[in-house]
Formats: sequence, structure tokens, C-alpha cells
Amino acid sequence: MPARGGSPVPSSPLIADTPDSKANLTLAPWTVSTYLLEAEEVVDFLCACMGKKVLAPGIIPGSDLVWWTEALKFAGSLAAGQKYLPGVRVEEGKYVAIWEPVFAGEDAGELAKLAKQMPPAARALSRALPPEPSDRPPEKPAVFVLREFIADSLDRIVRTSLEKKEPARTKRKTPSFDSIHDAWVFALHSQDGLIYGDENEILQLAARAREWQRPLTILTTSPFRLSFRLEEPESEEGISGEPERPEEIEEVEGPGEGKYIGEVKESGDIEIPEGMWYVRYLLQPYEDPSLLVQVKDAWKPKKDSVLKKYDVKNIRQFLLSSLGQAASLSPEIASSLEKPAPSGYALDIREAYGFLTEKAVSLNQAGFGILLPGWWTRKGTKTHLRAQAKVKGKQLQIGSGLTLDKIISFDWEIALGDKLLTVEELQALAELKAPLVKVRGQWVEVNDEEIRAAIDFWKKNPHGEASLRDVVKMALGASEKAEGFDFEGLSATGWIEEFISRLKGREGFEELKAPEAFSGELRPYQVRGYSWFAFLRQWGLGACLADDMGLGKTVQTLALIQRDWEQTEARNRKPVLLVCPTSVINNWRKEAARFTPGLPVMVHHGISRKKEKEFPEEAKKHAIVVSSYGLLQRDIEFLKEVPWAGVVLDEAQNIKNPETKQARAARALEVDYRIALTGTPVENNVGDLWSIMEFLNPGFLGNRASFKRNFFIPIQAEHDQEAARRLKEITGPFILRRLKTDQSIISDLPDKMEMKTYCTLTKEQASLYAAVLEDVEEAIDEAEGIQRRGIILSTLMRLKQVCNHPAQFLKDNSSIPDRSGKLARLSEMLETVLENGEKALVFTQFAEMGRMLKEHLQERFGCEVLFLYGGVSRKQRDRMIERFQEGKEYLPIFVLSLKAGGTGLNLTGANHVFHFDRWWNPAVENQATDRAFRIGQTRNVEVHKFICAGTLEEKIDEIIERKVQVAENVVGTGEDWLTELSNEELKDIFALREEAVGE
Amino acid sequence: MAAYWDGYGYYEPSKPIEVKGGIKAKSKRGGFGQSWWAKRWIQTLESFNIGARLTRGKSYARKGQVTSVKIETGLVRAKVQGSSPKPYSVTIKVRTLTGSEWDLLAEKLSQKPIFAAKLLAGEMPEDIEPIFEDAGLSLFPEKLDDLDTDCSCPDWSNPCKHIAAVYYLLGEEFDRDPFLIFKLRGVDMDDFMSSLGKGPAPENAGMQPEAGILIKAPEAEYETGAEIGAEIGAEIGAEIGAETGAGSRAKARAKTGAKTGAKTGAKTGAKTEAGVEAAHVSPESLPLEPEAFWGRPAESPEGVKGPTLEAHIPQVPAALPKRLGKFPFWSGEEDFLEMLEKVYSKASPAGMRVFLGEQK
Repeated sequence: MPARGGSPVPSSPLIADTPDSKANLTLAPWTVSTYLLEAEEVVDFLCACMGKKVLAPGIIPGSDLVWWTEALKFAGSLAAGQKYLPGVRVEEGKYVAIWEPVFAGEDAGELAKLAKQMPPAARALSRALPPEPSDRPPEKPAVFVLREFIADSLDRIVRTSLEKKEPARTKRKTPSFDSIHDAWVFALHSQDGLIYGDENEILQLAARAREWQRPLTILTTSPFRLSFRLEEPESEEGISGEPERPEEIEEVEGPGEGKYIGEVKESGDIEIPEGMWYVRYLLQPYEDPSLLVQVKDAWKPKKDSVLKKYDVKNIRQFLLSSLGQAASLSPEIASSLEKPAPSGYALDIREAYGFLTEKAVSLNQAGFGILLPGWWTRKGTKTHLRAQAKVKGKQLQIGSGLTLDKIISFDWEIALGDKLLTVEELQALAELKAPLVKVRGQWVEVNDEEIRAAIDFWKKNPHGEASLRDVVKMALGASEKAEGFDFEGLSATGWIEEFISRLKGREGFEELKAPEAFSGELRPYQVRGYSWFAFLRQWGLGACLADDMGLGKTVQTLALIQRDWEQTEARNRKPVLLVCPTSVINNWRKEAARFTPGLPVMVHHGISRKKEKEFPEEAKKHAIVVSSYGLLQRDIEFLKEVPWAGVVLDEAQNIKNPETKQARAARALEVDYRIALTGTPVENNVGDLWSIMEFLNPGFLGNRASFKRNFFIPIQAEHDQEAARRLKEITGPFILRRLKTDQSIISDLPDKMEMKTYCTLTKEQASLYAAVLEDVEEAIDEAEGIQRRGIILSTLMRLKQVCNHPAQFLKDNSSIPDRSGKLARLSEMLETVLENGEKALVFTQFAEMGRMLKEHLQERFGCEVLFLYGGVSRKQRDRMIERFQEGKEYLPIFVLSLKAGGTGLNLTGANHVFHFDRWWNPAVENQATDRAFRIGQTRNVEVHKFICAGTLEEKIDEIIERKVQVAENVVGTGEDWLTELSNEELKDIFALREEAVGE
Repeated sequence: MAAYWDGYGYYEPSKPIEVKGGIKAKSKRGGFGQSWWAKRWIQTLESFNIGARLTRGKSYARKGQVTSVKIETGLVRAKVQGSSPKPYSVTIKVRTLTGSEWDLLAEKLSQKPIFAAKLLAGEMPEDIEPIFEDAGLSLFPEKLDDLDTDCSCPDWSNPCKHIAAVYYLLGEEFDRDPFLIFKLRGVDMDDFMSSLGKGPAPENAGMQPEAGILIKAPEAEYETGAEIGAEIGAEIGAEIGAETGAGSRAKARAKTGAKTGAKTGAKTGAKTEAGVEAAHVSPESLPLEPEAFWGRPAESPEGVKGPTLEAHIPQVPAALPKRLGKFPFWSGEEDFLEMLEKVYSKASPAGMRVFLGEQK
């Protein structure tokens, strides 16, 4: 490890500060305690670490561990892609059967790239103990270390996936086999891989295995891949959209001139250009796959050829052996090799179709590159024969009681691309027996069987029926293959067309007025969001509002609930279940009281909550029932008994794992409409999307297994753009996410948004709070003058500490997590801030709280948290500000004590300001806020003021708000005014109200 | 050991000692070898008119009496278990072609890339024989001059049934790798390829400097050392060691020498790939700068992820081993490729789970 002045330089400032020594840096050996993992444990462990910034509170993966997870991913991709072979290895004098990775083509590049990224720390450990000062530091090249690791983990992945073979004979202690090959097969399946057999036979086996693998060395050492490109016949106008045929083809082999002949009767749009297609052989360098080199360059290298930098003899050998392998898959390739220097071969339309459908697939599987025309490879948008529903609807009838269950009848129509076909046209096509035709200048596959299937289907079923839900699914492109061809798409007219286009466009629907009894103003984008909610709600479709934090998801939701309430006759009214994290229950209660004061709200929480039969009785009397995820799962049995109007999941990422009890419970509720709220970009997280969609609109993404097959693996593992596009198309209409930075939003937002965040107390906090009150009650009554004043101020201080955190009050260095409602809420909100790549300032008036915040947030988020307090030197302070502002490192959180950081500094890098506790002096708080909200700030600033509901914090806040309305800043002299209050008034302020407790 | 004279030849008792794990021919009845070139090879044997020895040789080959076969330039060595406790040693020597003979052939072969391509892909081009004939040569040893066989058994007939058994097995091996025939005739695959690969370019006409390397220099036989080392079994290793005078090993020490050689050979061999690279990659010393040493933490999670890394489960399993074909002289109970197909199909989803970081 690099060391300075006798101590190692830590890997991260989170562990310790850099040794403060003037001594020179040296590389010195250190003894480190290690825990040795078995290969299988390594795989499990790294799997568990994958993609995590924090493993558990306070356990943060170092950059080397992060890198190892990447290396394991690589091993996983090799195992999935079957890029390995059985082999034999000598290990510490033992003969072991192994599954060896084969790094061919891109994988060789990947290996080199990964090796380059390896943090040197990952190879700094040597097992020699104890280290002697004379020891040279390890110098094993990164690529070796990586290769060994990949080989070991790949072998382990393969091995553990196999069932153990029973040894042929186990009379003796060691199994024995008739043939060394049987021993090898056994060892390839066994846990330890040991080969039991005669040493010489094993050696011979090893040699044979290498001999067997030898042809691959040509492949693995070649810098190229042999690729085949199918080229269309050249059309006269050259409208095919493909690049022009390179001029250098020999006349004999080149395709003939394309010319148009007989067009299909009745349809001038369909034609079959007659001309030869061509399969061209190309060399594709792995290091630059966009470069396609004609193979003739390899036969007769030109002076300026890119091949000049490679060994031409090797290229020829590679080319020949590749072509030889390809020849066994394709007789056309074989016959092209009868002539010197072949560069490709010509084919007719039928052969071209055969190449597209069969040859290309088998060549590709054998490891050759295949370049096909774009019209063929575009999967989803590929023009092909399909059945679509033609639905006629009249005018859109809003509020006519239509639901998704309505059965819609429609006519089937058969389309080729965007051209509708008649039965006669279909039959004409079938008679042509051409596998490929051009429709309006676009090449289109017409499969004989498909045409026949289509004609059959159509004759039997000219009309169809389906629920509106299925029609919507079809319209969104959730296609199904049945009866031999695709059912996909919709051509609709009338209200259904309107409905679908509104759904897809997420606009065009009526912008609603705010509900009558809604108190407060909706910003223009909030009106749009609320109207969108109402539109989907009307159809019983679930909606996910994923607006950025601070855009008012709560307000939009409350507006919808209010509207629903107003529009329903009193006797038909049903409550809405609102599920949220415990830490925001009070926030919802307060927000509802503020924006929808007319709606009766019930909080289903705490020990005294209504249970079993009492619950439905009580719930029916309210408009909103607020509860937590924990109780959703625990109380589901009687929650299910209520006929809910709707269910709203706040922070819906809580159900991202569909197997959890809360996710199951959420799906089990019977409701008219469903809403999910989240501030995280759900649409980008393919894995989490299914659960949320399944909650909102069951069945739209198929079951979990088919979702994994059709979307998750293609998008996540194969980077399939097409699958990603289809997923977006299906989910898009149900997810609305707007960013603060959107042009259409930014103009609606004030530059500074102040919000109060109401927090709950934990049980521990509540009992401490009660204890403090009990403690001082008599004292206040008895004391007078200066003494009374002192008691009041110290009580105030102690209660504030309790509201912040029990450990701050107890000063006992006890554990931090899960003991404070405020801290829980802060952590949740900061998580969203971090996910959006933003930065935040957190102000507290207590230095010791600041220290706890720093420690806790570092452990929670795994990144360094800056902390400025009175004890920080000027130089250190300037350095902190510089690091926070310049953005070379992502230091998203800056904790400041109000006294040290409340004035003068410029911290415009942050656009979130949290006031963790209150000064009760708006002027001071505003001044602190202005560290971020000042010249140089380019974004809107969100100010979050934390208040524990049901405690003195809420009371004082109310009093100050009232006074501020009279004359701003009059009360702004801190807390002294409290001492002037009567004992009764004080008791009222200090009192602990029931709603304070969150659990 | 009882033996008797039947008027035609010297016969052992009809039942040889049973062998476990010998090389068993794939052919269970009828002829040997599926490819035309394997059949051509066997024709040569069958033309020698050795009567019942052919049938016995076939049955030896099928029963797995042949315990080892090694193919070298111009030479095949095999061990065949007869009725004597010690297996008999069989050698088949084939005349290697001279440098000028190969020069001539190489030029003719280079006119059609299909020859090289097919050979590299494990197939003997069908019209290759006329090319040999044009040059006044034959690919398969036909005349007695071309072939010299020997067996340590007491049978006076040459070829005997042991030689026949080896001959049949070789036929099956040629099915798998037609290039073995070229190897037998003294041509190294790589050299052959590089000559063929020259293609028809006119500048290559006439005397080709590379043509010289078509014929192996004697030491080239040792290839990587690992190869030979491993191929030499302990017993015959001693013999070969003595015969070829490999290294400076004295005859007396030859046995152990070969053994050690074999071991080290296998060791280096097993690490060949890494070893080759070692030659190019020099040690990398650890950086002194702490930031470089520990690795800079990525600024965003995307920074670390190789967004290019993909994982695909192939539709058809085991493409790689299928491309390589059968395992040489496979004697396992289970079919090699079938076994691999099962493994690949099972391991793919497991690999995908690891790639996606899904835990069990």
C-alpha cells in the first residue's frame, strides 16, 4: 500500500484522513487480515454486491470491489454465451478438470478493457506471510489476475449449475473409471474437479484436449471477424435506401442489373424487382466494427489497405479457415471457393430469402458476423403480414359509464406493412410464391404459410370481439402471435380512436378546473397532471405519477380525490386508501388539511388503530384513509373488506419487488382506480417496472416470466433497443414524469419553493419527550423570574433535541439508525436527491447533531458528506466549499451548522436546502437558505423545513406563521418571547399530541 | 501362454486380456470410417490380403484393445493389448514426401481456396487426389515402399491383427481430422496453410522461399514440448526418448526423464495461452500515487459499468465445441458432444443469473 510517515494512505476519506506527514510516499508491505472465500462464495458475494453503492448501512464497497463485480458479470456473460471449453489444468501438483473461458473477438477486447480499468489495489495482495521488508511489491499484470479470476469464477458458475455425476465405481476411496475420458467427464461435473486416473493418461488427455482446441486459436488470435452482408438488387432509381454496391466486384460474380417485371394484378404498390442479390464477404476488425474491409484486400493487399498493419499471412489463414467452416454450412459459399480470391456470391430472390431466414441464423450462431438490410432486422417495426382490428366508434361519450370491461366488436383486417389487403390481393400474393416483395418501395417478407393462415383466418373470422382492455393492449403494441401470424395494431375510428390517441399522447384530454372545495392554487402543469389522473381514473386505468420531488405530486393526488368525492353522490361515496412510508403519514394529514379541508381523513396507524370489523365501519365514514406499507401488509385481511374507491401508493418504489408481502397486498385490494407516486425515474428501471405496472394495470406486461423473457433480459442483458422501445410504448401512457428542468415546467415554478415537511416521532422519541415534560412540569410552576426563564429555555432545548434524535438528547453515543422520524424522512428525501444527481445543504443549529448527520448519511449513502461547524479552520472551510462547488467529485451532501455556515458562503451547487431543526427566526433561516438561493444559482431551489407534527415544533411554527402574516419578522427574535407566556400557554405549546407518534 | 500353429499363421488364444477404458471404435458392425478418405485409407490395409486377421483386427478395435495411439510426422505408435500381459507395440511408418514434392503440390493446391478452406474446416476436399496424381504422387500410402509396419507380437504376418486394429482406429480418426493424413506424410498444418494461403497472387509464382518450411525441421517435431512431453506415456516415453535421443538424456535415465518432461510439458502446456501472453506482457508495478493505487471512485454508477457488456443465451447450444468437432480418440462412455450440450444448456441460465446479479 502507498504509505506516508509510517501509516498507509487510506483508500477513502470515509475511513480516515490522509496521514498528515511531510514524509515521502512509499510503497510498503502491510499485513492485512483477510477472510478467504470459496469460489462459490465469491460468486454469491459479488452477485449480492452488484450495482449497490452501499451494502448495508456503513458498509461501502471500495472501487476494487465494484470492479470485481464487473469482472464477475463478464464471467457470467461468458457462461451465458457458452464461450468456454472443457480442459485440464495442473494445480499444486494435482490434475484438475476445468471449464476454460475462450476470449474470442469482442470478448478479447472486453478482457483488455476490463484489465485496464482494474484498480491496482485489486492485485496488491500477496499471500506471503509475514511480509518481509525486502519483498518486492506484487507485479502481476492486471490482465493475468483478471484472466485467472474469470477462469475460476466461470468454472465455478458452470460447475454449480450441473448435477454431480455418480462415479462409475466407488469400491475404493477414490472413484475409478474404465476410461480416462470418463474420469474427465466425472471431474468436469464434480465439486473439486480432481481427475482420478493414471498420471500419464491424464497428461495425454491434456495434450489431446489442447489438440482438440487448436483450431480455435486461429479464431481467438485473429483481430477480425468474418462477416457476410446481404445486398439487395440494385434498383434503377436506387431508392432502396441501402448504400450503393461497391464498384469493385468482378463482372462475372456481380449481380445483374435490377429491373422491374410483372407487377401483381390489382395492386400497383406491390412489385418484385428481378435482379440478383449478393452476399459479400467482409472482414470486420474487432477494434472498429464499423470498418468493413473487402476480403479481396486480404487476397491482394493494396498499398493503402487497412490490412497493412496486420500480418497478411495470418489474415489469409483466418479467412480460409473461416470460409471453410462457413462452407460446411452453405454450399453456395463452398462453390464460391472454387475460384481464386472469392469475394462473395450472387443469389436469386428465393435464395436470398433462404439466406435471411436460415443461413444467416446458422452462420451467426457459428460466430460469423451477419449484416442484413435494415428492413429485415427491425423487429417490431418490420413490415410484415398482420391482422389488425378495425374498430368503429361514435363520438366520445364521456361519463357514460363505459369501462374497460366493455366488449367491443370489430372487423379484422389484414395488412402488409401499412397497406391493407383484400382477399383477392392476398390470393394473388399467394400465387406469386415470392417470399419477398416490395410494397411501396419497401421490401416485405411474405411467407406462404402466413398468407394461407391469414386467408383461412379471415374467411372464418371476419369479425372479432374483445374487451376494451384488450383493444387498448393491442393498440399499445402488446402483440400476440396466434394461428400462424401476428395480431397486432389497431385501426380505429370514432371515440375509440380518440381515446387511444389521447392515451398515447397523454394530452388532448380536457383540462379540468380545480375541484370546488379545493383550497389552494394548482400550477398549470399540476392541472395537466390532475386532468391526466382523472382521464385514466375514468377508464379504471392505473396511473403512475413520477414527477420530480417538489413538483407537488401530493397536491395533484388530493385534487383528484377531492374531484371524485364531489362528483359522487353522498350515498355512493367510498374512501381512498393512501399508503405511504411511516415518516410521511403526518405530511399527508397536514397537506390534506391544507388543500382539501373538506375531506374527512382517517389515519390508520398506531396501537390504538381500529381493527377487524371496526375498521371498515370507521373507514367508510372518511374520504381518505392514510396508512403505512407495514400495516398494508399486516392488516390486509380487514383492509380487503372495505370497498375502496381507489388506492394510492406514495413512494411506490416500496413495491418494486413483486414478491414482497406489501406488493402482494397492494395487488390484492379491490378498487376502482389505482395510483402510484414516486420521485424516482421508474421508467428507467426495467426490473422494478413490472411490479408497479402489475399493480396499476394487471396483465399489460404479461406474467412475470414472460416479462423477463420479452423485456428484462433483452433490455438488461442484450441491450435490445427495440425491446426497450416496445416497453416504453406499452407503459408510456401510464407513467407521467416531469422534471423541474423541463421547459414547460420551469416557467410555472417559482425560483424558490418553500415546503414544510411534517415528520413523526418514534416511540422512543415520544416517551423521552413525555419524560422531559413530566420532569419540568412542577419546576415551571414553582420557579420564577430568571430561574423560570432558564428552565423554559432549557426545556425548549431538550425537547428540540428529542425531536431531532434520542442520541442527541441522551448524549450517549448510542446508535443512530431507526430512532428518529426526522432522520428517516431526511434520508428518504436525500435518496431522491441523489438519484436525480442533485446536491443538498442540510442546516442544523446543533454541531453534535451535524456530526451525527454526517456519520449517518455517509454510512447510508456511501459517499463523503461534508460538515462545516465552528471548529473548522478557515483553510479547511474554503477547501470544502471549493470541492462542493467545483464538481470534480460528486459530493452531494453538505451539512452545516447554522452558526458557522449560515452567512457569507456561496454554495450555489446545491438546489435543495434542508432545515433539519428550526431557529424560529425566518430572517436567520432565509439567510441560510440564501447560501444556495443567490446569484449564480441556475436552478429552482427547494427549501424543506422539518417539523415534528404534534409537538412544540408544530405549535411554534403555527404561532410564528400567524405573526408573520401580521408583520413579517416581528417575532423574529428567536425563542425568548416564549418565556413571556403563561404557564398554561406554555403547556399547550409543549404538549405532546397523539398524532405525533409514528408507530 | 498357449499358442498354436494352424498352417497359415501363428495364433494366440482367441481371447485377449480384457481392457477397461481402451479406445473403442465407434463403428459397431460393418465397415470402418464414414468419410471417403477414411475408407480410402482402410482400402489400403484391406488390399494386403491378410485374411481373418482383418476381422480380428476389427473386433480388437471395437472392443477397445488398443490402449494408446500417437501420431507423429510419418509415424504412428500404438499399444495393443493382446493375450500377453504386456501390450504389444505397434508402429506404422509412412514415407514422408520430399520438399520438392510438396512445393509442386502446394502450387497446385493454392489455385483453389476450397482445398485449404475445407481442410482447415476438417474436411478432405473430394477432388484432391487428382491434384496428387497430376504431380505423380499419391495422398494415401499405397505401395509397400510407402508403408512400413511393425508389431512386437509373435505373429509373422505383417500386417497382423494388432496392426489392423490400429489401422482401423486411424481410419476413424481421419474422419474427424483429415489433416492427420497430411501430418503422417510429413506436412505440418500451419506451414501447409501458410503456403496455401498465399493464394494465386502472381508474385508468388516460381520458387517460394517459404516452401522450404513445408518440411519440418527435425526439432520442429517437439513443437511446444508440452505436446510431445504429454503425448509420451511413461513407458514408451522411455523408448522414444532413447530412439530420438531427445535432449541430452542418457538412455538409462530416459524413462524418468521422459516422465518429468511430460509433467513439466503438461504444466507449461496447460498454461500455454497465458504463457504466450507472458512473453508480451511485462510485469506491471503498483503505482505509488494513492489515488491511482486505490482507484478513483466513479463519479456516477454508470461510470464503472461497461455499458457495452452484453450477455446472450445462444439458441443452439454448444456452438463452440460443435465447431471443433469430436474429441480425438474419445473412449468415454457418454457421447462427448451430447454431454457438452447438456452442460452448456444448463450453465447458460446460471451465467445469465450471475450477469444480472440475481441471487439464488
